[in-house]
Amino acid sequence: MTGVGAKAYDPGSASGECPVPLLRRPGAASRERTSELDRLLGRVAAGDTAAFERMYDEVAGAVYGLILRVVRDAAHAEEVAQEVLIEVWRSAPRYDPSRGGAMAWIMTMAHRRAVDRVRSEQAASDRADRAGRREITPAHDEVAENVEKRLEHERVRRCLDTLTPLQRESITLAYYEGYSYREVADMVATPLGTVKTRMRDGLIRLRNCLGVA
Amino acid sequence: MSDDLHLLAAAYALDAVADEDERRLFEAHLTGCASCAAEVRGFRTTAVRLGAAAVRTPPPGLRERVLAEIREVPQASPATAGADVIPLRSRRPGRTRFAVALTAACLVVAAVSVGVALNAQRSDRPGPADRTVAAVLSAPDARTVTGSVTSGGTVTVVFSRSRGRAVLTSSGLRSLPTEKTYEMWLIGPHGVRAGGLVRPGADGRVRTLVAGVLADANKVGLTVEPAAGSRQPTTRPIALLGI
Ligand SMILES: [Zn+2]
Repeated sequence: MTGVGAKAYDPGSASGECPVPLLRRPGAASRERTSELDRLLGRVAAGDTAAFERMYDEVAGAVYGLILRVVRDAAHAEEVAQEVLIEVWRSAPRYDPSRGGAMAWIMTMAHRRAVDRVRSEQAASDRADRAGRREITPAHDEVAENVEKRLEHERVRRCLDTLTPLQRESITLAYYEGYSYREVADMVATPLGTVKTRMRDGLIRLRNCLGVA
Repeated sequence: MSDDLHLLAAAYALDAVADEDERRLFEAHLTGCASCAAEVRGFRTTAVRLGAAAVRTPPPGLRERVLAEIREVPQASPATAGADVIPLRSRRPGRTRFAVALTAACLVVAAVSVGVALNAQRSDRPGPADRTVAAVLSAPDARTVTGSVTSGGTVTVVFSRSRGRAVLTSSGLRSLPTEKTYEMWLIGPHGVRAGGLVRPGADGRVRTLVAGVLADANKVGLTVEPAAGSRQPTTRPIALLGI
């Protein structure tokens, strides 16, 4: 299994090069969108279904895309995405804006659900199947139709490229494939402490590259 | 052999800490470690950017189904505390006041709610033992080591030389007949010290935080002993972890 994640890191590269010059500060666009999203979520918390519809249009692509990336099966991804989006509606009144913003809240929930899903699949010894699917899943078609999303996508890809291959591998196996750090250590035949350090060093580098405060 | 507990922030932010006990221990650590808490926040935000970059057009039917379903789903009532905090099993005034007073309040809430058996006492009111556990988990030099138990299950030990204690938790241990118990040992060059009894829960799952005195111990062991516990181990260790 060593090196299985070597080309798994691409968050979904578009078929061609990004045609738009990268003009804006990293993250500026997403920060604006985030505060708009926070306002929407506030209205959703008050039971506003129209606000929920607008929020759906803002986040469903990211929620579905991330879940699909992790669970690797369109039907499963759709199921999990539906659960997550409904959970967003249900628990919106409990959202605490002081804890990192609406997008982070929603995407964290999406990622956890996706990971829970693959881990329970794993329990059903579906691991080999998943590994197989990783190879045959076509590399990301119609990414980001809009320019802003495409820019962000390109930025993340470039920042991932700044990591060492080992940092990138451990982060992407964990985040995009849903493996635990212990599993990653097994897969790449590396001590646990080393894998933890790689994940941490890689995330620090990514965090700085992406301009996360 | 052992790892710095603070190193877990990245794996935790990536949802890559699959072991429930380990995750709880780290969450308890987070309530007392400001630098890990800040690191987790930054790493989560970073992970969200990775996630959002995987954007895909959702299947066409999804929007309609979700919008139809939310009209049927009632919303939760706003929580008074953070939604992630595990509620207390019973809310006794004394305990609540105690928990609020404690810096690592969340730890105690989490610890009590997972059915912790503290070795020093079995009363309902958290006492010095809870504080000891909290202090170990949030110690700047807290380190963690995990090992398997020969008869099944795993034990995780968090220890801090500055606090002079080792906290042990376990999962997947076999349940024992009533006349037996698991016991933790702290083993050093000058002998073996009893760390505390590790008691299985009613459901057969063991979720125990036991805080033993570290002294000069360089190993933590687990044995099966008579129900009342022993002063010195009477059987061969079923787990032995170097610390
Ligand atoms: Zn820490």
